[in-house]
Amino acid sequence: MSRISNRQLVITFLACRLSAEMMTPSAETVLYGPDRFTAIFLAKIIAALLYIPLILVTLRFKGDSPVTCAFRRNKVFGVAVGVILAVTLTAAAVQTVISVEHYITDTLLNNILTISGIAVLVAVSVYGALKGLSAVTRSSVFAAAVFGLLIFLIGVTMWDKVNPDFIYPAFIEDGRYFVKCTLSEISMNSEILIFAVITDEIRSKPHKTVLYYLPLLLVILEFLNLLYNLILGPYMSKIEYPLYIIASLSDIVIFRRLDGIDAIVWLMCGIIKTALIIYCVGRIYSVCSKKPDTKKAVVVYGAFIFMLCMVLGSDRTVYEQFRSVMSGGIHILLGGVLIPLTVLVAGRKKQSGGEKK
Amino acid sequence: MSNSKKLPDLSEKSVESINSGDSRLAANLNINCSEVRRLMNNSSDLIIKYFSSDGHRMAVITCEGMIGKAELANLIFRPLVSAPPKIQDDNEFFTKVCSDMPIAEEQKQVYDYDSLCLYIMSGFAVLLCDGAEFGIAIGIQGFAHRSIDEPSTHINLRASREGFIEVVRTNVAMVRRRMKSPTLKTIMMTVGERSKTDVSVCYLTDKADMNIVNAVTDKLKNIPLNTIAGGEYLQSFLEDDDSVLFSQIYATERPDVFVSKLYEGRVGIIVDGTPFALVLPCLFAENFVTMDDYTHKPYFSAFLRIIRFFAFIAGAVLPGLYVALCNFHPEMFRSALLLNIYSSEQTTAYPVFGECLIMYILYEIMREAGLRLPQSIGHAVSIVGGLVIGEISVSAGLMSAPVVLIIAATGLCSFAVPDLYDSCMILRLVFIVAGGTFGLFGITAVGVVIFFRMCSKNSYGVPYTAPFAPVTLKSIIRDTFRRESWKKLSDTDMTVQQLSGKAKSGHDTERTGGNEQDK
Repeated sequence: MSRISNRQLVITFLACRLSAEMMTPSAETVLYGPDRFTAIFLAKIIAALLYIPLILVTLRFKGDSPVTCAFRRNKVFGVAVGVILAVTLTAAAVQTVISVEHYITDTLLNNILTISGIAVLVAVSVYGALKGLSAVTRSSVFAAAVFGLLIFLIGVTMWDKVNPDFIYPAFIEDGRYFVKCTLSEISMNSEILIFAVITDEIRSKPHKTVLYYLPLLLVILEFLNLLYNLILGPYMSKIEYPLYIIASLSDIVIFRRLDGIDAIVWLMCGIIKTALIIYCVGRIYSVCSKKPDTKKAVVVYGAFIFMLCMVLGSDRTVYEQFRSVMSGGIHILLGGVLIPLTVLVAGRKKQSGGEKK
Repeated sequence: MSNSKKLPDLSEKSVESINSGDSRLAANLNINCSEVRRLMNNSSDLIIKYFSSDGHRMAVITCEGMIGKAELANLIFRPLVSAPPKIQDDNEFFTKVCSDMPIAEEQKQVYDYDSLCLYIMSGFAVLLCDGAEFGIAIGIQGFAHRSIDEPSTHINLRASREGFIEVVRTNVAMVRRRMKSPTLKTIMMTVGERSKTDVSVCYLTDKADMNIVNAVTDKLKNIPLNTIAGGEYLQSFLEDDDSVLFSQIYATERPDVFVSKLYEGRVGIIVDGTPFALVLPCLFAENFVTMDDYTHKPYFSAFLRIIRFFAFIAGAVLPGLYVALCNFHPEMFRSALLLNIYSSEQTTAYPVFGECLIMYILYEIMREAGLRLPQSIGHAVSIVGGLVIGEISVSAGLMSAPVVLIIAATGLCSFAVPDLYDSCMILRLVFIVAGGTFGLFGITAVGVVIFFRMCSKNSYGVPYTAPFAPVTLKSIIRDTFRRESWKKLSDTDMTVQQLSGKAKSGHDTERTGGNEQDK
């Protein structure tokens, strides 16, 4: 079994999470004003709470994932846990692929066929999943490097466009928007589902991943929000992809705008996230079927994802309905919280039963 | 013809009998000599010189051109003819010669025909004596070879001018001269069923990972090739996956580079007959390092390294990026540039994608033609390529000037990192097709596939993309993007095994297909 480090996974999670943030049209959830700063902060505290059952599982079962623990407890229970996690991961994968495809259509290629866009995305992701967890997580370092370059170039080219007057002291101005923004921030945390599957493959102390990841994510998101506020100000409420717009306003002498680099970063991150999810489903299959070779399963699952994306992604209204369901965060609650809690309780029952015997 | 009729067809049979190792020498000189002649198919370069020493019939068997004639006369004939041991019995006489007359520093007893033939073909002179059931192989190799010269590749400004040559032992001596440490160990072995090519495995016992050393020697022993004409023959057997675009084995013509790689815990392989030594494990980042980096000031070396990284990326991606921007994202160009491109494209017959492809293929044809032709004609090809194809195609309206410029610039860029030229060439074509088909989306998709591919590979347990991924900030800062000063580099001895993500056992990792542990 391949093993990765906490640091490696933190970078990958950041790439996954930020891509979700950047590629989700944010006309309603990214509004000008101080509310979002507070919403991001509160959302990270709630996210930390959501991770607690999963951390407890890893601490209690020496780093094992809920699927592995459940399968060890009882085969049927293990398969049930695996299926639920696979379903929630599938929902996250479909949302990711379609949002990436829409992002490409909205930014890079207006005339790309949905089928070709989704086919390329899924094919590359399946390839990554076949190459393994290390390949995917290591690749995220390169995406992070391009992101760093983008932020550096934006900083160099846009410093004169920063307007500090756009920032004003306040806490929560619009309660309804605040709740909506917080919920949206929480529902984007589908990394918890990935974490629930691959804790087995983290080299040591999986809970440390969360300890590094959430604070770093908080800092980056707050920084980006500050960037939006300082550069775009009130205009940020009128646009869908704020960082893309900021990048398109940049001028770096060689190119007139940086939006291409922005699109490349989030496209890379989106593919990495999809590859990671497909890998996770392959891993669930491996645990439940006790077969180490998951190549066929990964390819078949990739084809399944492709078909689902074609059904849901070809019509924007259907996708919007699907997204509104997902923005409730039900998949996170189910796969990231309820499943680990159930595994914890089941493990406790077995222990107490063993003591009675 | 008559000879060939008398002699059986031994081309296969003799080799089998030699390899079996069951044919021991007889006590009769004539039988031994005729058997050697038979085994060597009465080859014209086989020389058997009979002579007598104090009444004992003897013979020296050599291969023409493989020995030093002066050494043969001075070390063998003169002492044996002028001052032989005074012993009557043939066997005792020859044993005395072997034990008490140190003829040459490399002197071995031979008891069977297969060893005897191998020594003869390796440039030894084999001394036989009537009545003795063994021979003495004497190392007086004197075959003609190229003298030590400046390497033709990896040219450096201030580093050593010495390069490896085709003789393995001379190369090993060059390594030893640079590393006078008892921890430098060399293992000499023969590879190739027929060619019996000498291969020397070199490593520092206190630096190299023994799992890697064992894995390398195991693989070398099990190479099923008949003939090894160069180190490149071994590469695909030593690589985990030879279908990878980037080579996982570093080839160098420079002994100084070879020694410095050994010092970093790597294993070196010197193959007889080629001036290129192999080093492994090899990392992607190593391709951007030259020996001159360590002779210049650190700030200048760091600048050059960043230039090389940039050149490689530009060499691979620039034409594809240009096609993508022209076809799909023209808004990214500056207005003046866009107008220039637009006006030049108006006068050409092909779309940008087609232009780039044609120009790229023409460029590669010119490069290949210039490379293979004699130097004098090669210049003519350059003139034809540069002036006729470049200039005339633009003025004739077949190609646009920006495309010619882009392809020429990327050609130059790819030469900045010669070790990655072949990878860069293929990547360029792939990116042109991807950029022309899907624009930046296609380029990103191909880029991610390449990242996945590169990141999934381990070179003997060490991640190929280390220290970038998995990240080892210390190593990146210390000696990857920038070159630290020698004062700081001397603080710690870092080996390749210490890089992040190194598997516990390189050999195991290799066999399990690259499942590794990241630190």
